[in-house]
Amino acid sequence: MSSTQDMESQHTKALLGITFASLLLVAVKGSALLQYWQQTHHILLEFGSLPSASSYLPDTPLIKEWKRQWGNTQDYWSVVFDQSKSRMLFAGQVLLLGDKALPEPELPVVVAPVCPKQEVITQACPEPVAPPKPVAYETPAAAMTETVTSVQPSTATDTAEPITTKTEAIETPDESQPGEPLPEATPEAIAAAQGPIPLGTGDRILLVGDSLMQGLAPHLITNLKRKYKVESMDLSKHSTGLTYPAFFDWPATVEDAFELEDYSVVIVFLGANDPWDMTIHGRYIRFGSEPWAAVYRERVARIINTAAAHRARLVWLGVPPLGREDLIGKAPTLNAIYAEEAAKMPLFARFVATDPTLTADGSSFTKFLELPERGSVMVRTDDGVHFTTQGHRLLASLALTQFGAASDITVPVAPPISNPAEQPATEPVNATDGTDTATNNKITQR
Amino acid sequence: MHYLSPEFGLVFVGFLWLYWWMGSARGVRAQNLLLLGASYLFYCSFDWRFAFLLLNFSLVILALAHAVQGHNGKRRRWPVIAGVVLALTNLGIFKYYNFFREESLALLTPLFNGASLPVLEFVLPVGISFYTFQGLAYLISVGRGECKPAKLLDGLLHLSFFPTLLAGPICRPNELLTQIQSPDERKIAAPEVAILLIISALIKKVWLSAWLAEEWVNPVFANPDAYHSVELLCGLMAYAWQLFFDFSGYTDVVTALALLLGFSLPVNFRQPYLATSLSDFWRRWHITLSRWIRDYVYISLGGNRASWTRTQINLLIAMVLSGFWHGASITFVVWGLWHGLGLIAQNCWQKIIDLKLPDFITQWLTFAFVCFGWLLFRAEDWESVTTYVAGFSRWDTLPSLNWMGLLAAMVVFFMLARRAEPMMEKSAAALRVLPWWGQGLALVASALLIMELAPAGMPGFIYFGF
Repeated sequence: MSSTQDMESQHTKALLGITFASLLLVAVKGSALLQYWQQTHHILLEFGSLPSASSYLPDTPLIKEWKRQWGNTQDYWSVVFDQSKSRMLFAGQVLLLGDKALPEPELPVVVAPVCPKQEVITQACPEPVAPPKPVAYETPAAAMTETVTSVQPSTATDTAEPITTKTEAIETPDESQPGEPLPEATPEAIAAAQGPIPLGTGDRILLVGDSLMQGLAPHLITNLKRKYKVESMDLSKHSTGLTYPAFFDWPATVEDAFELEDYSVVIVFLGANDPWDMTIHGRYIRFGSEPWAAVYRERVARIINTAAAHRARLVWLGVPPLGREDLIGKAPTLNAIYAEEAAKMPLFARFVATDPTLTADGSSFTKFLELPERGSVMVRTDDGVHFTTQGHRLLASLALTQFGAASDITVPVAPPISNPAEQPATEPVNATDGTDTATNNKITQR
Repeated sequence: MHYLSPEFGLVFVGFLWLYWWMGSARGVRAQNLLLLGASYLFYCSFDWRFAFLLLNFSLVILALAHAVQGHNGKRRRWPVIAGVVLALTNLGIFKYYNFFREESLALLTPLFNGASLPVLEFVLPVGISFYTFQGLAYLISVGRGECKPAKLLDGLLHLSFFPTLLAGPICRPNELLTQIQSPDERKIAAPEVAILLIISALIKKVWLSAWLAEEWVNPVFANPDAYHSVELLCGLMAYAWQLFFDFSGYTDVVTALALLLGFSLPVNFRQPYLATSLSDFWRRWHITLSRWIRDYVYISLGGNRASWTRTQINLLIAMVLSGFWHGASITFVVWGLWHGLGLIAQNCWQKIIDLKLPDFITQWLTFAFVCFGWLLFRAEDWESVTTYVAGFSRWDTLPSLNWMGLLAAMVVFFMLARRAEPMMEKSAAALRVLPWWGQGLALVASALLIMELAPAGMPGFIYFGF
């Protein structure tokens, strides 16, 4: 019947439209799909990676020109968008807070003139030196300039200059260049580093992790702010880890974060998305094998080294026992790596195991814990991985035991750095801070 | 498998070819069988035990429905009562056991040291709240004589139809079951509407809902202490719209899926934030749930047939139960209470001061009231609510979020809401003109554009937790 045929042709048209759309989407977004597949199902497809759709286009000059123009348009509009966004943000701030929202005016840095000191002569006159051969100057002026330039370098090395009128003198020790050697790890220093990490107003905390950290972060941020008046930056992201840097590169992200801001503490909570096989340069590496551990270890070390290079303390929270069938028993492998790498930087990094707090027997997955005053409480969710609010609170209090108020902590003096003359900035001499040795020690100990 | 995931999309497209070939080769009954198998397979992809539970539940409900018809033509009452009790107990155990356990332990432990209720580990089957209500609607309809008991396979399909299985719409027998039972050949009534709904769903879920969540809702709710009062207000409004986009986007997807299978589902949303009163809001938001509560709870309690006071009490009970259905937590109950009290206040106003305010005032009042309700809906516990509310007096923090941008976006949302229906109709008409490859291209172009604009990652379905 023709109406049946009409219906069928309508069906076919609809089906064709949908199928065509799906195939086209797969073709254009192929590599993103493969990444999503790897992330979600942890099965590595043998294709490696699909070429991007743009590489199918012929490589003529016209196409190249279009691509270039397209890139330029994208860049232009993203700049416009970002600018409008930041202007609106600023406008909103000014609307609500008025003058207080305006940034402080940048005052020009005025260097106090250095008056030559009246030197009290205490020593005997130096041995007369044979006068230099008189140099024949052409003009008296030439003679004058020659003498002046030879005097200046010596004054620079003598005094610790009061550099600026601001309090940067106290802060420069913290912004040590990554190239400088790290403090010596003497037994006293290590013992000192194992106490509570001091936190004071103005410190910034960096939070790194996956979805477990996403749930933990609000509790950490609120409690840290309440107790120590510190601000935190939460960079945690769902489904991330160290195993798939193509999806998300944590070592690079941490390095970039430190470029933008000077964090005093990093708290890391990763691992739940990591216990899977990898493919490196076409080689298939099984989880738990030595090559796997070597690759993984290197990524962990990069994060720890970044923190150490910026003199930030790092707390690496261990992966809690996982209850999902495909994850059981994998946490200890990861935790061993974290503990070993953290032990290599004892002055800055520490590994904090979460198993004892979160389990009844210290190692197996526990969904319900006996808590005082609340009885048996569900701490893990039904998926065997994530935490309930109670679970997050437990974790947060465990993490918080690692910290203490800076004013409460008296830290013994750090051993002097071997070559003071090469590193004038780290010398515990602060022209503006007189004899406060406690402050000096805090600064060098961080 | 989530409906908007790549795996589901590709499998569904393949399934569509099989389904329509089956329809033209073997007819509607074969299509129903195929659908039934596919629905159970789909549910098994979450957990085979969920499917087993669903099968159990469906068989019990269907058997009880058959038991309603007595020998002498009279309808028995006990099967319906038994069904309601069993279904609600079933739902209660899976969803509310841990809630009751923890709350009662928290109350009992100070009194009886060492009190303990057995720890029963229940995994919440996805969609149990929805299919329980759908099953009860069927059973009660049969009990009231509104429809005949269904044959086994038809009934099983009605309760497991995969587009509506996970989060509704909650269908009445005269909506879904009659379409299943109809012997007429199925057809895709309007393929361009399906494509349009998919595009709309992508915009709402992948882009707008995810953007609101990442930029506004998650930061503000995670750490309310850090934000200015205006930002907290914006966060609430952002959550209101995120919830709407999330749920109505999901409804769009399943409506599109059902359309492509030849079914038409009831409407679940009708621009709820344009509501001019609280009762109007509940006629526009999650319509299928509201009418379920109205017909099976409110009217069963007496509705508005008794005194005015009794009506208000009925309203309150209905809203509190609705809140409780949403989640096993005190905050949901309080949310239901909030809406119940609001409805009562609205009725009092109408009774005492019969003044009709202009629409834009009532719309804003209703929106503000609903937004504060959403605070209770999202908060995990009472402490979070008080922390948030305490923040409304904070006027001296430097705002760190672009609240002006959000307000501008809200204005756009409201404007689009007013024009939503005409816009959909015009777009559908425009799509209809295109050939099949044109429609496909439109879908791909929209999808790519949305993926560019959206924040990365797979959007979660807020309502899946129910």
